[in-house]
Amino acid sequence: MRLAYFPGCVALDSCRELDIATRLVAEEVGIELVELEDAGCCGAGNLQEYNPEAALALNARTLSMAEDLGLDVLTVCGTCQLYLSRANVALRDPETRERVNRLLARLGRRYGGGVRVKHFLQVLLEDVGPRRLAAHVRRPLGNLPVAAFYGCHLLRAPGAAEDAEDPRAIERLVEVLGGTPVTYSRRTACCGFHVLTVRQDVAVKMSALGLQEARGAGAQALATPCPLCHLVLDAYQHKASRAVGEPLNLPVLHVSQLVGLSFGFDPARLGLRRHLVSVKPFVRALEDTEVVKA
Amino acid sequence: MTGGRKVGVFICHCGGNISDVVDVYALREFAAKQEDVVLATDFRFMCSNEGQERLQKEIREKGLDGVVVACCTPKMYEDLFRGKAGEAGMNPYLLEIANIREQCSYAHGHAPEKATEKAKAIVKGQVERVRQLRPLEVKTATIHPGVAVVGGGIAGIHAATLLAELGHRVTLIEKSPTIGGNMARLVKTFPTDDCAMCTLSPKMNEVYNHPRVDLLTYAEVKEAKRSPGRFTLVVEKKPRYVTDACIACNRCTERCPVSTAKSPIQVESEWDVGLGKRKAIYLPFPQALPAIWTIDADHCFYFQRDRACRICAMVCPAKAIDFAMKPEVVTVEVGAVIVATGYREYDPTPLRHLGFRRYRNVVTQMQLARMLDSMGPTRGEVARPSDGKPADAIVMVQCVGSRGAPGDALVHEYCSRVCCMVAVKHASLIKKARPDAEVYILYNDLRAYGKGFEEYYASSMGLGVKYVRGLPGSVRPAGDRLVVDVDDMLTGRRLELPADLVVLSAALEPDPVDDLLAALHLDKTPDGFVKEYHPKINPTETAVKGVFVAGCAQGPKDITDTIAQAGAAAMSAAVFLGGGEMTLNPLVAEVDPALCRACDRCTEVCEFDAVCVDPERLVAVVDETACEGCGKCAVVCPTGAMSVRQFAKPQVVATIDAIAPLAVVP
Amino acid sequence: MAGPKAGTVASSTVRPDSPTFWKEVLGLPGGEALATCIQCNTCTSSCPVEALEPEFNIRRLIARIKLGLREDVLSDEALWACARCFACVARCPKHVRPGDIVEAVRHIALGEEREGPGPRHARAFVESIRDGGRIHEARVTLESLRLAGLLREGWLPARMAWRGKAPRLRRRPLKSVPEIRALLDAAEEGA
Repeated sequence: MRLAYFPGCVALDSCRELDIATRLVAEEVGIELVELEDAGCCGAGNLQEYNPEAALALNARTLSMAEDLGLDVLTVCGTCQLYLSRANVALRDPETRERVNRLLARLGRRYGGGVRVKHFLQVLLEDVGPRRLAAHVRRPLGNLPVAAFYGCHLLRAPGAAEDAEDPRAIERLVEVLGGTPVTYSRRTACCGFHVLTVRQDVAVKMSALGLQEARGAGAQALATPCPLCHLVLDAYQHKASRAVGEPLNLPVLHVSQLVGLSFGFDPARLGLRRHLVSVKPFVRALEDTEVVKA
Repeated sequence: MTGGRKVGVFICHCGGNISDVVDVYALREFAAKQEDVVLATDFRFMCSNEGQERLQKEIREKGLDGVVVACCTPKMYEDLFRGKAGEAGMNPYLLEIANIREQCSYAHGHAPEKATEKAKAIVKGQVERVRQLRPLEVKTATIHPGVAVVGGGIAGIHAATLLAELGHRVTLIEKSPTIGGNMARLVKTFPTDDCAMCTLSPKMNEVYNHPRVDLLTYAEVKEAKRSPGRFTLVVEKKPRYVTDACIACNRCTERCPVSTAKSPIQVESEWDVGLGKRKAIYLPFPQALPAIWTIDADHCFYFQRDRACRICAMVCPAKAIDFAMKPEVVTVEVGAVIVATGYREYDPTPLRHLGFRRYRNVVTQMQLARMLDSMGPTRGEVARPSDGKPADAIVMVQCVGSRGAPGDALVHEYCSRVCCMVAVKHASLIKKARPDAEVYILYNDLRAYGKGFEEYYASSMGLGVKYVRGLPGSVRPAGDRLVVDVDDMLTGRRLELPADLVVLSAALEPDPVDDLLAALHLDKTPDGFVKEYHPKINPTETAVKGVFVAGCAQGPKDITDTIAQAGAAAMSAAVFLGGGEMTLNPLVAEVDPALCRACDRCTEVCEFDAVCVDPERLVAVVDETACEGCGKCAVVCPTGAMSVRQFAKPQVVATIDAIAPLAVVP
Repeated sequence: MAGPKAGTVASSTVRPDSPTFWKEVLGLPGGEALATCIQCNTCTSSCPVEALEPEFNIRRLIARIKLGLREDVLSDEALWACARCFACVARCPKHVRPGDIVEAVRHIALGEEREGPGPRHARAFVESIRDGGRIHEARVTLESLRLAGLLREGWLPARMAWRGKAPRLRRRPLKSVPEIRALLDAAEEGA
């Protein structure tokens, strides 16, 4: 299976470990990633606010690049998934598409509307499938309690297969990888990333509430499909701890990293050292469990 | 046939509704100049008594044989004016309405000059049309005696009783094993806290015992045929597998193994809206009528496990069990039908954030009503379905499935009207029984519009019911309780309300009876309810003569309004039946035998079986009593042999030719 | 905001200053369904920001727009507190899309070159796309927070750098930046 890989901005900058882990996992399960190296930012809401038409055109350009390759788009970020698929839905309207195509024509581009936008989590569960995924598991998560943190945008993206109020994808994935999913009500809550620069106080408290509840529910790690959630939950966790008045100490893994760990990849290769909240206790607990497959 | 007509044009001001926009004097001058027009006049209200007299006077004095009344939509007064013209000696079908209100002054109030030009075009079109019309003969048909009332809820019961009292033979058809409908579940009724069953049960008995009422329960209308003055309903009675010999001793139910703890077959009680179980042989509720037990074959060991169990037959002292009972088809011939098919409660499962079917302690108001019944699944205690513990904190959520976005397939756009008062009632009942319980009602607009409602609402506050203005964002679990997140507009505080029970005030939606409506050729309004003839001035009749509608089949309403409408529907039906004779619409299809090639296309498209081909003469023949004048046959006819009277091609073309040159560009 | 002038009493009353403000919002992407709001409060009850910062009240924002309190809405810093979680959009029974209305109102504010941390961040973000095609995190953060804000982060940048987590100080622009810039310009002209 081949996919047009759209890593987004953050997975190539502060969350480089996500890009690295994703490539490793994709290779392992036989997905060929054709990176859209020249694709621009999805706009992340900011460009949409500044100039909605420009944001639509920029995303149409990205979609047209995948269409030229005859491939569907793969994202690894909730926000990229939301804004690319929102654009894709808007571009289904023939009038809108014609209008945007007139802009794209200046670059010699055209978008026909025939591309799907999929997040890596969805690809793993639907296209690769639990059975093939399980076949690659060399170091099962050993019943380690892992809680999901979905992030709003993946759940709210048009065409999301999940029930946004009661999603199950990450829990199912954790089970496939041999772990024990921990559920708690704030797994669908907002991390606050999009107000991190403007209202850091609010963002930190928002993430703190989620982290606190997950920890209270017994989670030893969080798994998130979004690098933006990861940034808040990991890099700002010390501030969240301060906000709730107790050390949270909850390692946060990218979904790709979690899958990579269960595949038996070296934690260092998965970029786990780049995290601010140490993943070491989790990895150690994992290494203590028996390796069932060579 | 042009020339020689004497056409009169009457222009109505509609008290300013038309004349404030359209220059009626210019319109009158214009009309006077048209060919064959011998009179053009204007009047403040043509629909007034004076207006009607003026119309009749001019017809008599000027000998008019064509009239155009330029006024409001023909749906309003076409029948009236035609009747008056007929009394004055003119053929009623030579009168046409030119709609210059809805289609002109109302729509173009911002552009009076253009509106006047458009009014001229409309009037000229109708003048030319009238010049082409032929006088038509009006035939009558005898109305078959008797009424069928479909639906045995409070609306159907009330209408059936009134008609029977007036001396009509009534057939009351109910699809479930008992009459009583939703009202039987309600425990108490607002705003008086009357016991629902105590008020309903006597009415059930009255209709059940009435000598002129034939009751068909566990029965559904499968087909309906219409001929002039007569409806033939084909009703299927489902087998109860229990005969009339039943003595209501309940021994069968006591011994039936279904829904017992170890039984592989478990049945949720429809009566208790899923809160309790029932046996396979059952009486829906103690006051059910007829008091004959019913076997639910879909959940009975005898039928589902190859005759494995016959306990009920063995214990029955009256030998009333008959496993061999077959469905029975009954044909009912009546002159009128009242549709009183009622409502069902909306299923809130799609509204995922409210947690219905995700959390057991989220229920609907109807389920709460069952809990409040001392004979109900919790013996009158408001308890948590999860563990049966008493609910100390109850949070009610209004407008669930009501007041949604237009076009949203999952919810309804309309207000269900009764849910506010249902919540106030249930909250009050809970507080009266258990003052220490906390009850919150989360509402948007609280609509207490009926007689005694405001007082009832106010008294609930005295009981300590707490009102929170704002609908919740989510319902989530917290330990063994729930938490409801809501921002209260009144206090400006974001609340987290702990709840043992969340009660959703789910919308009322029409009971799905599409097959019945299709069989009777009834339309629905966009909200899914039966379309009444006129929502304001004629809410009980329908577009089909002889078919009436009552109760929640026509729209959400409380019991008071249901009773009122059922009475009105019974009255309308009685008036209709009382004449014993109905006039037939002469505006139906007719065939020109010289052009017909007997190709059968008309017979294929006719929905009313009103056209057939005469095998000897090889021409199509229209049954004028069955034809509705819809015109489908005229459209598909390849030779032009088929046409609808007064809508023949030259008559339609005359209007178009008249209007086209006057077309007003917006 | 400027302080009250001498001799006047500061009043917190407002007057509707733009009766057609609702139409202005209605005409923008995201604002189309504004008019059908029935103020049921499902949006605010769903809002994770309002739970922590009551100044940002999305239902009231819609009411203020409909009432024509244009300056009151556009000068309100709380407008920039929306975290774009879109729970309100998902749950609104009238499909009013409250979160998208925020987008439309912010568009107006940005068009008027309003000041404050919110508009500053949005502009830094867009500039970064114009200059590099993708986001240059270090630069956007610095321009949004300014030096003072960055200092308030304390040791965090250093800790991130130590972990190799810090965003790159320099980022090579995409090869196609001229193309992207041309597209953005073209969209701007068209708008």
